[in-house]
Amino acid sequence: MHELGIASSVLEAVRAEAQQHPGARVLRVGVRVGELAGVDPEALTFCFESLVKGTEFEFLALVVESTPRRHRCSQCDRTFAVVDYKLACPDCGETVTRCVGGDELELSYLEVETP
Amino acid sequence: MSRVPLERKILSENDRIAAELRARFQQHGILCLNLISSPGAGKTTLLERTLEGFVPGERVAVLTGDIQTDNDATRLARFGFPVRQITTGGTCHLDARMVDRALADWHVQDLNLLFIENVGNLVCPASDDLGEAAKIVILSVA
Repeated sequence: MHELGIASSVLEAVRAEAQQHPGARVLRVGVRVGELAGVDPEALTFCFESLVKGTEFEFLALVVESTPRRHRCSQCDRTFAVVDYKLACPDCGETVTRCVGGDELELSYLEVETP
Repeated sequence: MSRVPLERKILSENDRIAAELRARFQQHGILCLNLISSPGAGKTTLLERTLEGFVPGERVAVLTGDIQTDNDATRLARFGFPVRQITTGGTCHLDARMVDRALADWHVQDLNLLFIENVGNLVCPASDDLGEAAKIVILSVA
């Protein structure tokens, strides 16, 4: 129930960036959504599509890149993606590992078609 | 066609406002705590017990978030400390802008301790930074 606000923030950022490229058509906006960000990619896409409908950004596509939860091993320092809540290091088996990523909610890129 | 890198946080506006709030709290020596939990876990009860323990005149205040009602504010106002309700009107958690607005006409410099009671939530994350020094998570395990 908060994806609409996030979609709206994405659109605001696109609008601001599009002003830097007058006359260009923006085709795609890429966002990175971590597994721990608490954002549902499908709901985000749905909200985004509803927002752009009937606007100059009607044909702008939102591309969501999902990123996994990442942990770092306290023993061998390896960083690994966590699957199915298995938090132990896949290399050395150490169980003390620390969450170092996966909560990102970031704008990644904008694809523009220049005339 | 060209690709323009953007590389920034989507909710950077919230983080910016939260950083301003945090600076303001630090400047005035205010400890701000953000209470989060699912509905019915006991945020308001914990605050009731806490406020009960303070002597009158203690420089403590509460901002309490709710989707619709002001029941929590009414419960907490009984103790005589400033309490303000933030009614989100459908939004499932507080954001820094709501806190900033709610504090706009308050003399925050008169406070030592500010509790923010977040909206009780089962599904959505209440992880937005509100400028607090720490979050307190209440779990109901009964």
